Amino acid sequence: MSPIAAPLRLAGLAACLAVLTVVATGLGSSALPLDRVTAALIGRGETMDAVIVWTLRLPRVVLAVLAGMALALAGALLQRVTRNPVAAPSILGITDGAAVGVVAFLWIFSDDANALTVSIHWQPLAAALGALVFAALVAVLALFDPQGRSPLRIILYGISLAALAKAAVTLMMILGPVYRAGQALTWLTGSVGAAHWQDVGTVAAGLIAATLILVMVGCHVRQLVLDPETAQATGVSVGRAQLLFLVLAVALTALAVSQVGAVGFVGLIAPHIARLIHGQFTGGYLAATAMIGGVLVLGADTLARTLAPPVELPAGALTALVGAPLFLWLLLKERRTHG
Amino acid sequence: MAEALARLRNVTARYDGVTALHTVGLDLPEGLVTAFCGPNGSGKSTALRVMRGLHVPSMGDVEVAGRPLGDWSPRELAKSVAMLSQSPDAPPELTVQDLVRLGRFAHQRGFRGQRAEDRIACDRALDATEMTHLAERPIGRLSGGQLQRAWIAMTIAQDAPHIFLDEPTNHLDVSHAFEVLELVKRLNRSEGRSIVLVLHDLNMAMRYADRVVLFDKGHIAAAGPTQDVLTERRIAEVFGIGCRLIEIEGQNVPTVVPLPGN
Amino acid sequence: MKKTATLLVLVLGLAIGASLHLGLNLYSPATVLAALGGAEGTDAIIIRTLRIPRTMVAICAGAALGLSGFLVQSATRNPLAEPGLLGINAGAAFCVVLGVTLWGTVGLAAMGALALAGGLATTGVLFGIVAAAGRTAGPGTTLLAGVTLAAMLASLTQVLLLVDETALETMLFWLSGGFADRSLAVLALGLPSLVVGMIGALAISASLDVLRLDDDSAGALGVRVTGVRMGALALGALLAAGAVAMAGPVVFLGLVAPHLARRVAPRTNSAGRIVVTVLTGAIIAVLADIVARLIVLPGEAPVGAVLALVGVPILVSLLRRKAEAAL
Repeated sequence: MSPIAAPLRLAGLAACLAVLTVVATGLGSSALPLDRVTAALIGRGETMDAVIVWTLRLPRVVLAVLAGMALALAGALLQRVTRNPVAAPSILGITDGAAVGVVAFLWIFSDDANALTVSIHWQPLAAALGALVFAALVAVLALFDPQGRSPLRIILYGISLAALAKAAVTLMMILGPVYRAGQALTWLTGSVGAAHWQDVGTVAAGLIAATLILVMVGCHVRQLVLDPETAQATGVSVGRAQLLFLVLAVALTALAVSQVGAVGFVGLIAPHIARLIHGQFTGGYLAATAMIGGVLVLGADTLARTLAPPVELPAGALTALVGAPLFLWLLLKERRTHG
Repeated sequence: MAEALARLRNVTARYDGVTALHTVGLDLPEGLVTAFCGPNGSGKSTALRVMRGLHVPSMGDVEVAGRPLGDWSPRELAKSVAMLSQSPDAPPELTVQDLVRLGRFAHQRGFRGQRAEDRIACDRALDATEMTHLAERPIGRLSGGQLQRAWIAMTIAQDAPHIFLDEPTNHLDVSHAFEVLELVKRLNRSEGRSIVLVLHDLNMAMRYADRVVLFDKGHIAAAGPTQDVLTERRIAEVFGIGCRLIEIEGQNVPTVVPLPGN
Repeated sequence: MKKTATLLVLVLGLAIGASLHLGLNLYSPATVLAALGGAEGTDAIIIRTLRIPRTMVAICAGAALGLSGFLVQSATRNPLAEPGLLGINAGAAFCVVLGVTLWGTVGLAAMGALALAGGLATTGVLFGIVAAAGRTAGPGTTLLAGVTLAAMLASLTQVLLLVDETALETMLFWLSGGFADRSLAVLALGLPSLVVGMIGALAISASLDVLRLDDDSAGALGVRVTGVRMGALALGALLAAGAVAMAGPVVFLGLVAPHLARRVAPRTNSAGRIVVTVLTGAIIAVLADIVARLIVLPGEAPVGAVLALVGVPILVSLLRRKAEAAL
């Protein structure tokens, strides 16, 4: 454990996130120096700068941060519920399930003229529905497993169903109207793309609700590191806590995925980075995880749009490039210590 | 002594498709060390788990500390009865201190951190188990005896007047096993906590238990003061193996010596 | 055994016939026969230049991927191993895309070499990781590591393509994986690798029989365990690379074919299993290709999606089988 006190570490992380936010807001096709960004942010900049900052850059930057937070929290909750350090929304098939929900929504509710027949605001709900269905499938397969419940097998079921979901998405995109397919494709690769304050509001509202729930019952999360029977003996209603946090994780994932697409590996690695620099049993672990998730997605998205202009790389590809090696390393470490 | 710690009436419980308890009735008095003994699969662990509300019986009524089990909220029950299951598990990087703190769950509310009384309870638990010097160590780096003591410390920190221990001497060598049982005795004698534990070793039960409940194929073969229950004849009947109780000079309890083939 | 093989050859023949008749346009047997006989006209040209090549590529790639799956599964004693899921296909594809990005369009031979290098390298890395995880690493660990490796390589490929637009245009179609619209020339890559793979597999089949035991027992019976294992994995990578060079990365075939072969011929030795697996792989590939062109008429579904729809239920049922030992 590092000698710096926990509140100080959290403050440090928050500062990191704030600095990155300002820097990311400045970067782009017409780069703004930091002082002009700050001036625009506090409402003292020139009109042009204010337009760039407030309508073009900031919604995207804030959306990236919030989506990262939601994904990271979902990952941390899933790792606790399954008692498995390699659990994450994308690995358990939840992300791809949300993708199925969104693509099905776009497919079912568009008319011949390629216009949506219902409001786009239903999209997060569709994502949540898809995510919930796939999460439930994985949970049922893992709970009624003839070979007994084991943390590794949940993951194997998750990977299998994720492959199924991907195939379903591909087929629906081909079956669906061309225009919608194109839209779904950009969305699927995981990019923050064209963000509006409205999207930001949706994710923020969900995140605030989740935070309130966690503040009220957050102490249960820590208790779940114990095996279910022992946790029960310390006074937790384990089944109910697991269900609540599972649903919460699914909702957070769906929320993030419906807005920024299938950005993978964030829910997996953010909790582990938090564990390394903050400690997973220290108070504020979830807060640290959320902030790191924000930093990761914002960093990936910023790199994605500035690395090879004018091409925009999908942020999801960048998080996979960082996340996959880290995951392999974790897998090795896990096997060595528990083998 | 007057009030019952637990009362089972006509309890039938199934476990993994097998009936582990057949219409069992049992009264456990407060303030004593009670040992559940019996062959493997005789229902002793199931009985303990049923009493703690970890296993739902298919029939019958269970009362703990004068209240039906269904009337307890999980937190209230945890404040009254602490339990250490047979093979508890936690991440290896968790430190002893953090583990013990988890025992305070039932006493905490909301997101509030540790209060002074939590800290005091944890320190006392570490002290009672002589784990204070290992408080900062991750549990993955403890020896078997230390690990078991760390788990018991967590159970003690729960500050419950009743403690259930499911085979606490499992996987421990003789000296560590004695160490744990000495601790159990201390908790009972000096802190007045009632203790129920599942024990395989009849000699350990003979030495440390005030009362013994002897299980046999899902029934209770006998229950009462230790030396009344653990007789040569009864052990032979329940375990299907001959044995003698031998007085050893300087020891105040007889020693059970199994005699296979008789 | 002979009966099974004959039956499978018959089924394959039927599948090939169906593949020539079915599609956006339905052809009568007379039209197909005329086309085979060298008739003129649009229909005959479609059959000769589109249907025949894609059927041939499907046969060849299916056989190669099925056998590759069988070899990898035998070598690792892991019923879940499969070149696609283990990232071998993705590795081969990545290497080809990397080559195209660096040197512009590459010839067929270079493409084959790149695919082979990528496949072998990925196999090496994967089993290096699994070996580093130690003896306790079960089939599940191998699968997890493979899937992750595949995800990483796919992302890398995606980034490369987005950065280099010319590569994107040339490669995107090939990368989606499928048997349609490939020139017959690609068979020059796939066929030799299939033949070499089959001969090699048959040569070590007796050792593969013994390798079903644990390593120590197999060694005691005189099998050079490490050598055979390396050989089988290298052949598996070679076959997968050949298939990727032809059809692009196609997942799940290597899992489904050996498993069905096991069902079809439960009690044969490895040599027999190799023959049955090759035939089964070819049949599945041809059938999946037919399904791919029919289910989303008038469009065409990627054959990978069709295979996933069949492969995932099989994977899950494999995971749930009690007999499949501890994972």
